[in-house]
Amino acid sequence: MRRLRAFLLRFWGLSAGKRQDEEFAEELQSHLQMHIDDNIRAGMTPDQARREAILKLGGIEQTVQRQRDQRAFSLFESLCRDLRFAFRNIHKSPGFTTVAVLTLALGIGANTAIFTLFNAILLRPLPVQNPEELLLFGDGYAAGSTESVPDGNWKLFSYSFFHDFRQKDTSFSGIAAVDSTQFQTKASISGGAYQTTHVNLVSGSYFSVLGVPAVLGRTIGESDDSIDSAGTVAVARYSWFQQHFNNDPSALGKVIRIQSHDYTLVGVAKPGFSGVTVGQSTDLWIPLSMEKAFSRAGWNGLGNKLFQSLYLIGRLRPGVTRAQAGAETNLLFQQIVRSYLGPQPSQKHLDDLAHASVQLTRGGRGVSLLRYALSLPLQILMGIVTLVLLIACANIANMLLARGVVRRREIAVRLALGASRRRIVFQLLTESTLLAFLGATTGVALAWKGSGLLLNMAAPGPDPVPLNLAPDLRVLGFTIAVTVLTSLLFGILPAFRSVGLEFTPALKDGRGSSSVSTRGALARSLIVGQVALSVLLLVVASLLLRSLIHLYDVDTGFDKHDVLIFSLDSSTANLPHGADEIRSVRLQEQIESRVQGIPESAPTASPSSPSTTVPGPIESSFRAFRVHQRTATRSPSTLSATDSFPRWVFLSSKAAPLPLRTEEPPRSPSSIKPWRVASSRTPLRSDLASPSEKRPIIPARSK
Amino acid sequence: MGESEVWQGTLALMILKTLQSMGPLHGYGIARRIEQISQDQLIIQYGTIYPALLKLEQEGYISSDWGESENRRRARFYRLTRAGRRQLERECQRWEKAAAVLARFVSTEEETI
Repeated sequence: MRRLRAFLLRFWGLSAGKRQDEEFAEELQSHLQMHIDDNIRAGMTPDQARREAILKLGGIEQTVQRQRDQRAFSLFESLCRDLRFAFRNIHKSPGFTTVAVLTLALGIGANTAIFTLFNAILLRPLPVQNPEELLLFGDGYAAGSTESVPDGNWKLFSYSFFHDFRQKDTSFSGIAAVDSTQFQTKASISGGAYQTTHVNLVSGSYFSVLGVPAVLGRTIGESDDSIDSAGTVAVARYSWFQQHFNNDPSALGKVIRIQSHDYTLVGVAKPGFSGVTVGQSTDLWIPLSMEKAFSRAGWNGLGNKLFQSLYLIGRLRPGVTRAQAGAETNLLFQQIVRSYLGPQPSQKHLDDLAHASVQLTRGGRGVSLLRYALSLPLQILMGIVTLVLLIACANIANMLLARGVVRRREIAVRLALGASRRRIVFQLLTESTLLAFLGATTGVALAWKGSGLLLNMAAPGPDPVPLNLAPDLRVLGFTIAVTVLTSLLFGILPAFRSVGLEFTPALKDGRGSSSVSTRGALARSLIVGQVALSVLLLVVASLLLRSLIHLYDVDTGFDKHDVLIFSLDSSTANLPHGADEIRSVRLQEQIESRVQGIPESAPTASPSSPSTTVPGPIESSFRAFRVHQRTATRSPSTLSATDSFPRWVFLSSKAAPLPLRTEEPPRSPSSIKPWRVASSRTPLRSDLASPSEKRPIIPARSK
Repeated sequence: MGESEVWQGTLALMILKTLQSMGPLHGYGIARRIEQISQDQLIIQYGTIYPALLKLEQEGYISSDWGESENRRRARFYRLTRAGRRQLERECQRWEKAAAVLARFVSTEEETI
C-alpha cells in the first residue's frame, strides 16, 4: 500500500516538477544558511564557512538532481529525453536511417510474415467455446473413408461407432462427428443458378459440442440427425450468408437445392466460424443423416458399421484428465469395434484390432491436412528468415560501429561533462530500439500483404486457401519481442564500444587511437559472420529453387502440352444419378466420342486462361460442362481431388506419346464408381493415407 | 564509499529514530544529529538526507511544514506521522534481530578458530 502511494506520488512528481524544484531550492538555501551560521560561530571566515557547507552537502547540483530522481521516475524522464534526442539524431542522417530501416523492415517483415502463417496454421485455436477442452480422436492426418478393420493408430470412425460410443462413454460431456471430406459441389438457391459450394456433413451434436451458436435462426440439432434422410436442413457460414443474402434475415426458410435434394436454410453460424478444418471453409453444414441422399447411389454410410469416414471431437467433462479419457476411449473402442466384426471374426481381423488404438490429441486447433503438409516447410522457412534477420542485425551493427567513430567526440564530451557511462549506453540503445521499431512498422506493413502472397505461392490454384491471416495478439507479441531482441542484438555491442573509449585522445581530435584496432577486429568478424550467413542462405535458396524447377519438370509419362481437363456435374444438366444412371453413362460416352472427333486444331483456347470452355461443337451442345484447361506449368496433379464430378483428361493426339486417360469412363452401370479422381496418378484406394502421402484420400467406393 | 553502503539501508531508520527522539526537525538538524550520535564514525554527505526524507514522505511515514528555526531562519520541519511511528517500531525490531544474529554469527566464527 505504501509502495503504491509512493509510486503514485512519484508519478505525480512527473508533472509537478517546476514548483517542487523551487521549493527544494528554498529548502537547500536554508540548509546552507544554517550550516554557514554554525561554521561562522565555530570561527571560520564567511568564505570558508560557505565552501565547507557546500562540500559537506556534496554539491548543490548533485543534490538537486538526486532529489529530482527520487521525486519522479527519472528513468521515465530520461527515456523521454533520450527518445527526443534519438529522433533528432536519426533525422540528421537520413541516408543511414533509410538503409537501416529498410534492412530491418525486410528482416522483421519476413519473420512476421512467416510467423503469421505459422500462427494461422499451427497455433491459432478455433473460434469456439473453451477450445482447450476439445479432444480429437486420432491426429486428424487422414481424410476420406475406409472399410478396413482398425489397425494401428486409428483416425476415422463410422457413424455407428459414434452412436454407440456416445451412449457408453463417461469422459466426455459431448461428442461431435464431422465428415472428414468436405464436398465441393453445386448448389442453387431458390432455383437460381448453380454455384460452387462447399458442403460438410455434421452430426446433430456438432454445434452444441463446439459451442458455436447461431447468429440467426438455429443450428443443426439432434432431431435433424436422428432419422435417415430426414434432415433436409442447412446451416450457413456467416460470410457466405452475407455474400448470398446480403444479411437479409428473411433468407431463413429459403430452399437450397444440392444434388437433386432440397434443403431448407434454418440458420447462420456465428461470424468467424468456418468449420473445424483449418485451411478449408465450409459454406453449408448439413446433418449426417443426409449422407446417403447427399452422396448419391451406392453409399450407405450410416448403415455400414465399418464405413469409417468421420472425425470425432469430444469435449472433456470437467475434472476428467486426458489420460483417463484416453484409457476409457481405447477400452470402448476395442469393445465396440469387436462387436462389429460379427460372431466369428477371422484371426486376421482380431489381430488387426488388437493392434488398433485411438490417440486423443488436442482438438482446440481443429483438424488440418494443411498443418501436416506445411509444418516442416514452415519450420524451415522460419529458420531461414531468422538467418535473414541475423544478417540484417550484423549489417546494422557494423554501420553503427562506423557511426560510433564519427560520434566518438560527442560521446567523449558528454562523458567529460559528467554523464555516466550507463546513461550513454542507455541513450544509444534507445536509438537502436527506435530504429528497430521504425523498421518493424514498415516490416509489418510488408508482412500484411506478404503472408497472403506466400500462401498463394505455397498452394497455387484459382481458389485461395481460406485461412484467417489477420494478425492477432500472438503475432503482435512475437513481432514486438523480435524487434526488441533485434535492437539489443545490433545495438548493444556498438553502444558498449562507444563508451569504452580512451578519454583524452578522443577529446583532442575525435579519433581515439587506442581502440581503433579492436574496433577493426570487431567489424571484421561481423563482416565474416555476415558473409558466412549469406553464403549459407544463398546455398539453401538455390537448392530450394532447384527442387522447385525439378518439380515442374517431373516426367509424368505423357506430354503435358495441350492437356484439357473438364468435369461434369450431371445433376445440373438435369441428368440425375440413381435409376437414370444409364443416361449419364451414355452422355459420357457421347462426350468422349465427340471430343475425339474434334479436329486437332480445335482445342486451342488460349493456354494462359486457366478456365475456359472448349470451342467448337461441344460448347453449343453442352453448356453445363465445366472445363478446365491447364498448361504444363500447372500439371493436372494439382487439381483438387474432392470434386464430386466425373472428369476426363483429354490429350490431343499429336501431343500424346501414349494414350493415357487417367480414368476409365464407366462402361456399364454395375461398374459405376460415384467418386473419381482427376489425377495423373493411380487413384488412392480405401485405406487411410499413409504418412508420406500428402494428398487427401479419395472416398472409397462402396458396394 | 565503504561507509555509505551500511548507510543506505539504515538511513531511513536513523531519520525516523532522530525524529522520534528530537521531535520536529529540519534536514540540516537531522543530518547533524545523526553525525553526533554516531560520534563522527559515519561521515555523510548532507545532500543524501534529502532524497531519503522525500522517500519517507512519499511513503507517508513523515510529514513536513515550513517553520522557523531556533536561529530565526525559515526552514522546513519534518515530523513523524502515526504510520511512521509504527514503521519505526517494526524497523527497530527487525534491525535488532538482524544485529543479534550477525553478532552471534561473528562470535561463533571466532570460537571455532
